[in-house]
Amino acid sequence: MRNALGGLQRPTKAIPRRTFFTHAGRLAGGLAIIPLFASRGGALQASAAAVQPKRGGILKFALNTDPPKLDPASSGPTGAIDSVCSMVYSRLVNYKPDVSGVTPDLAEKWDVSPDGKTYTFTLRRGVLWHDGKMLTPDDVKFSFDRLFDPKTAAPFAPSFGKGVQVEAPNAATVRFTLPSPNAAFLPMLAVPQCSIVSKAFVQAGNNLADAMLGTGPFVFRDHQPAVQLRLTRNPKYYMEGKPYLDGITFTFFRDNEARVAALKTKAVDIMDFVPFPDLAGLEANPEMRVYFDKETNFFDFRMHQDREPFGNVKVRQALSCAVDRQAAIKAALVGRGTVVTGGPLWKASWAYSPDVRQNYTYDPDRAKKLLADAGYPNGFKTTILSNTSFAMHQNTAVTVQAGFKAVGVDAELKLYDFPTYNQKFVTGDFDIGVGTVIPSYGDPDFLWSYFNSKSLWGQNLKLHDNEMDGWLDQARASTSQAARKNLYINVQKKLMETVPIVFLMTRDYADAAWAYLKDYIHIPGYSWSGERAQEWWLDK
Amino acid sequence: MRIYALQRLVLSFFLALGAALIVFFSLHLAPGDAVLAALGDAGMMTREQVQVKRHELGLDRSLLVQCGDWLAHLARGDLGVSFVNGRPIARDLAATFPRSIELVVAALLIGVLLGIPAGVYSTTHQDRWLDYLLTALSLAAVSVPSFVSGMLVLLLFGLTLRWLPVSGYISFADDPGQHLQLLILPATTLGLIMAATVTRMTRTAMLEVRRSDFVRTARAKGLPERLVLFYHTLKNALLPVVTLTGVEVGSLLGGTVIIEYVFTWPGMSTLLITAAQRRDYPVVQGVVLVTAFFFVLVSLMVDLLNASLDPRIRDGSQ
Repeated sequence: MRNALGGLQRPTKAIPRRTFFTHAGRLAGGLAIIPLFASRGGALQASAAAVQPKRGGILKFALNTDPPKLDPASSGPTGAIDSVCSMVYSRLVNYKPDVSGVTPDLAEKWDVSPDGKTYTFTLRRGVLWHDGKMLTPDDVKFSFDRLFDPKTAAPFAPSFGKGVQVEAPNAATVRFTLPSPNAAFLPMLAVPQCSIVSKAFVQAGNNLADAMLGTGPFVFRDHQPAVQLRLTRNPKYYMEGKPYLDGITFTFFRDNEARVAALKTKAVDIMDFVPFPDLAGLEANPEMRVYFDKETNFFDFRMHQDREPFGNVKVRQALSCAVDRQAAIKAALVGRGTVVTGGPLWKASWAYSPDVRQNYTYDPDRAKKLLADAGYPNGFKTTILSNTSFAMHQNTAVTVQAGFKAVGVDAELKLYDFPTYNQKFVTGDFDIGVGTVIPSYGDPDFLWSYFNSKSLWGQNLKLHDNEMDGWLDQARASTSQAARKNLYINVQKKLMETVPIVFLMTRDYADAAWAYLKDYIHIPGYSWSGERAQEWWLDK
Repeated sequence: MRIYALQRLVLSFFLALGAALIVFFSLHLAPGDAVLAALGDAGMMTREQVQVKRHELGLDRSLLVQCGDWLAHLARGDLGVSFVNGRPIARDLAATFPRSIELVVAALLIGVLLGIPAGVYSTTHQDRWLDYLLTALSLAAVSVPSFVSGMLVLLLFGLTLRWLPVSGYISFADDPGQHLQLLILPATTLGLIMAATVTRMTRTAMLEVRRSDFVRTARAKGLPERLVLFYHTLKNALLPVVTLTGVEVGSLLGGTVIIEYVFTWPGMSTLLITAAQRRDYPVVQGVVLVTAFFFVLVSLMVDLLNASLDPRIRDGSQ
């Protein structure tokens, strides 16, 4: 939200880290992340890792927004809460540092049944809640039952589908039984929304939107809305000797200039979501480290398939050819972005293939010819839905509109604030929508959530491609990575040909920190800025 | 006088309630679904989830029933809880309202302490270069939007000179010194606009009073000029200034919307804007109710203050 835009393109409010149209954008698995974000800090970080970490100090962290609620399961439209939850709560599994798979957290080990439907997790022994009580399998069962309960209104819950059963058969294990095999099940468990919460704490009447009790490296101390949220070191964290920091204080800034100024004056040590116009200045400072994520926020425009003339594939192809991606990067991202040349996967993903190429790139003459072939030689009238809350979306929409106009398509901009925009997308009240797609979890299976006609997104866009549905279903059920990769290549090639959604560009997401913050990592797209905080330390 | 005050107080309550009711209905008529806004990532939620939440928040009832329910809670002194996070609204108001008032009071002090002496000086040095300078500065202060002046102040004193912290908030209890340092820039930005208005009003009123017969008489009696200026002229010129100051409290409270944003001051305006963006109706209603009540109370206080300053008003009200 929630503002990498800045400068003249300043958003009207803090930038959400997740997109509106997606549920929570975070990617993770399968993306080899280090090369994506190492920036200038990579080599230095590596050498710093060899140094003995220092203990102590309070890290001051500037977040672009105050989390509207603290409940990991029902987190709102900003990623800020995920950063905080990653520090206070634990999950059964976490992503590996390179996000190539998952690694144990509260679950010490796990077994998967031969049919791929049953996952049995053995819990780590002796893990304590921050109130001193022992973690039990009942807590895990309670957490997932709560996540799946419609009353919790958890945005991530639909990703699992219906019918996942959770049992706690004994004092050490938790068993998940799935209605059908799901190759992405483990990566799904590693997102912050799947944090394990205390059954006793919730049943005692505590409001998780307002109070936190976890098993993570930091203990929730207090939250003054719009002011700060304070965490202190968990002295009983199960990783002995960690965390290194005495605490973390988050301060919230709604204004970008103030946030950048706070970092520059060292009022804070680190900030998330660096505004685009400030990136160059911070990069040029030798005492600063900028951690990039350049490949996982896909700006797009998508077309309502049941509205004329978007059912006609030639029209969609023509519109894809009509938009100047470079112009959109300049207008919406102050030049800090990259044209998408393939599908919505990052290069380090195991499912990425250079063979997937966009077939309908910027070419106004071709666009006009395709429109004529489709029976619209004089263009047509339509509308573009976007929002005024985030300048990067609004300015993308303006560029898309200009591109359409140049080929004879007269598109009226329909700009609303975020809640109205969201409502119109969810209810299918749009012709063309402009927004971003961000992978929801660390597995290419996230494509199912967007492009399967049974998915909520698919229903919003009125997708109905049986072939693509079949590939996505098969890829989800398959246990062979090679087979899955081929299926995802098929899916992407079909997307490139039928273009129900046009991927335009990615943005340069960045966190910035003073160099004295060591061993900080940022996992692109996924939980953003709060991962592995037990490893962070201050060299000052 | 007491009856007058009591009547005004009762009227104040109904005025505030009327304002809140207008907000209640206009909010619900605004586009955008409160449930989807409260849920955040609603684009990826099932219809079942949305329906369950709608029922839980009571938004599947008619508007009149919802309004009646809200009024019933209000009658019991319960402002309700936030749609988004379930926090009691009274708790958030109790935290944010004093912060906004602190900002307003500080700005008011700056405005009055700078504005009145500047106005007096302008009067006594009428049509001299410093009078012109003060007039020009006043006009500039009133004309420049607060988001521009705020940003300039922040860049100059915070980033370039580094005299003061740029923005943020630390409670007085945690660190009084730091708290006051953080208050200076936003309060000054807001207060300078106030000072400009007070300067202009003081100058105009004093020039008018100076031409009055009783001032001429005072001079004719041989009273020292200082006494004439401060006891006879300024005291009588203060009436419109006090009225203006009272009216300006409302403007200052409105001005905090921008100032709180620029300086990350977590007051009631911040709460209001955030709640409006999230369609968090109960919070918006609560903030409007309290603000409206506060505003009419200030108007009442101004009336009473005027009465105490001017025997004609006092006598007339008895």
